[in-house]
Amino acid sequence: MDDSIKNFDDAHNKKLKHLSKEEHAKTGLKKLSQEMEASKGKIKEPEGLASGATDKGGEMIIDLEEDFNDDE
Amino acid sequence: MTGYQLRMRNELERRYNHLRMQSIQMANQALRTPDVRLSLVDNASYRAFEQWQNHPNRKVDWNWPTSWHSWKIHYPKRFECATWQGNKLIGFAMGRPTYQATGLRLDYIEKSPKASEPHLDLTYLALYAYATLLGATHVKIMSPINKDVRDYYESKGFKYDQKSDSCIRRII
Repeated sequence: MDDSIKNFDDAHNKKLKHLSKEEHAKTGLKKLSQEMEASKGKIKEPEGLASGATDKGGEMIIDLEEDFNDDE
Repeated sequence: MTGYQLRMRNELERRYNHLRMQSIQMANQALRTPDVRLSLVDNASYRAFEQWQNHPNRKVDWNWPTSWHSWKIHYPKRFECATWQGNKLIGFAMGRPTYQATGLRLDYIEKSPKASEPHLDLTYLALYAYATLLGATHVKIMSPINKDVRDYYESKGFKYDQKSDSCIRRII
């Protein structure tokens, strides 16, 4: 990553740490939206983009068991 | 479900629904693309889904309305999002916080084969907002269906974790 971008990101991240959750989200969203606009059309989203577990019948698996390790 | 459990569930539903609505609203305010928006999942989304439910180019055959019903009942803290271009549904996404709420999982996401707008980028705005409001430090997309999709997530700053078959992105 270019040093100037890295410095900008570091400064941005430092700024976010002092904000409330709402302000943090708003500031982060503004940056994400700018990035989204700048990268529009550069990388094409795969056709039929999908993610998720499917059972043998082709349906979603609504797994009601808690995954105690999914924070790792 | 006992009366007490039901009251607890309803209270959680009320609290987290407020956060869900807030995250969608914030994502919409941040959007710069005209005619594109996000919403929670409702009957209008289901009706719009019928336009591509039987499309031959769908990679999965999920019945969103049916699964959604179960998801909503069992996960009052869930994440949910529908993305739109005008009155056309771009796609759906649903997830839930991790066990200790340090992360937010995106358990299911699907884009319409008829849509051209970037569903992941749009969904990520709401996902990021909800995760931040919850105080989570990362988001993860579970079980990408193929290598193209996985590579695409990696190009967007996610890292693939083989153990959990998920693509993870740290949020600050």
